[in-house]
Amino acid sequence: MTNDMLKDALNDIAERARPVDGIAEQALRAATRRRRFIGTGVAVGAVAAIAAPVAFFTQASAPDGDATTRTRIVADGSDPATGEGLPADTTAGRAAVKACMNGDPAMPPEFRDDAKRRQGSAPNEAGTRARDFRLLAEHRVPTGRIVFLGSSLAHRTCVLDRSGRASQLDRLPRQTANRWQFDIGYGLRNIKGPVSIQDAGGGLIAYGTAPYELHVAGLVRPEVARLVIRFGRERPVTATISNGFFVGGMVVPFETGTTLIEKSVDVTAYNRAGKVVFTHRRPGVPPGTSG
Amino acid sequence: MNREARESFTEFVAARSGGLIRLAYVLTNDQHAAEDLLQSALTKTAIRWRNVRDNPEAYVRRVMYNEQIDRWKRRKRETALAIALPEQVSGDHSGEVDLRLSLEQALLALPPGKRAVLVLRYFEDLPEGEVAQIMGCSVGTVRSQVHKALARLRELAPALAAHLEPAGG
Repeated sequence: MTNDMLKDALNDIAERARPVDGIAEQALRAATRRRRFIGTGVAVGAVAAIAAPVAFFTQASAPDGDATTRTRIVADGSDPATGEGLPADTTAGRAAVKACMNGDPAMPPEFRDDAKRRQGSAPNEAGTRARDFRLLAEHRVPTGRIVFLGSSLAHRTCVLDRSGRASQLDRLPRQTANRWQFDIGYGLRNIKGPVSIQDAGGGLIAYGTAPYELHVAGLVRPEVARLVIRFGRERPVTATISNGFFVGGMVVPFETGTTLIEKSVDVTAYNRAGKVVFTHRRPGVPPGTSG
Repeated sequence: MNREARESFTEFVAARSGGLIRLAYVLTNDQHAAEDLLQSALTKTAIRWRNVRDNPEAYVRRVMYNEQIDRWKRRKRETALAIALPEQVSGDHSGEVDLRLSLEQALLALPPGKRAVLVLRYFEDLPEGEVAQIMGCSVGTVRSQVHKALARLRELAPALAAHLEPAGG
């Protein structure tokens, strides 16, 4: 009785589904563009846990470890559209956002729910629009820059060439933004451990056998002075840390990228004394397995 | 992905998207969310096509379940607040119809994690061992999850209590 009743009821619910058109093409486009998401924003391997909110003052270090500048996060509630914990808007930041955002970003359903819940209003509100995004951090690569953009609700990365033009696939309309992921009680200005990886992955930067981009982006606590990322057995990359955000990555030839995307990714953070305060390894994916 | 792979992927989606969107719908109870869930799963499948093309449907299903359960975990607190079922469902005098509607509403009011385990067991008709594999837990956990899900159904729709047996095989 139970089985039949449940089966029938579940079948009745399933019957309400409407067929979808063009979903294969959409999936192929998304797969080509991006993004094998390999980090879910959970602070892993935290060496120290501080429960109290942290003031987000940090040293911004260039990839080669030279010049540092002291920067400050916008104070709480200073600008509702900017959102708590985001850096102030700048001309360079606006240019990067404009180059990368072709329309408001596409939002997964939970975004819309969040926006409604937080604001009690229509989904296209603060945090979900292109103009709410700020330049959080940028990492120089030989072909240009990998930029990490974010709003109070979401983030995404984008590849710019030397003239500041977004890559072909980054310019596609309504790119998907990833929702910030935190454990309950944590947020942009209060991450659980020294490092919170929010986005790690990569993909083609243009159609065809174009170069591949690989990146890791997220947040760091002030004690993190240096963060090193290693894709497979490639040369380690020192990420750029800025305002408590970081991004590091590389642009590699197509063949290298398609191999590296399956390989392990190691993230190691150091404090100013050079002591390791965080390590995280995303294991490689053996051929023939699903992940 | 080369041309041949794109073609085989497109053929697979054309052949199976009908069944997959039904599954996505029963997991999400929302057309838009179902499309998002399916597209996300298909995107992952396209990325891994070389490795999963022998049995892509199993992979898509597993991704959908895992994603839905992940979403549920992330939104646990909100979901718990969202469960509110009317005491009486309809004015229909047919007891059977009322029961059916009660059951549907109770199923839709279940948290996605609990609904997922029932979908796997009763909609997909999978044995407990396979459910455990998909959910990444032990058979014992599957049994207890099914038991809890049925208990929650009984709470949500007391009229069903007499009809919903404890989980067995």
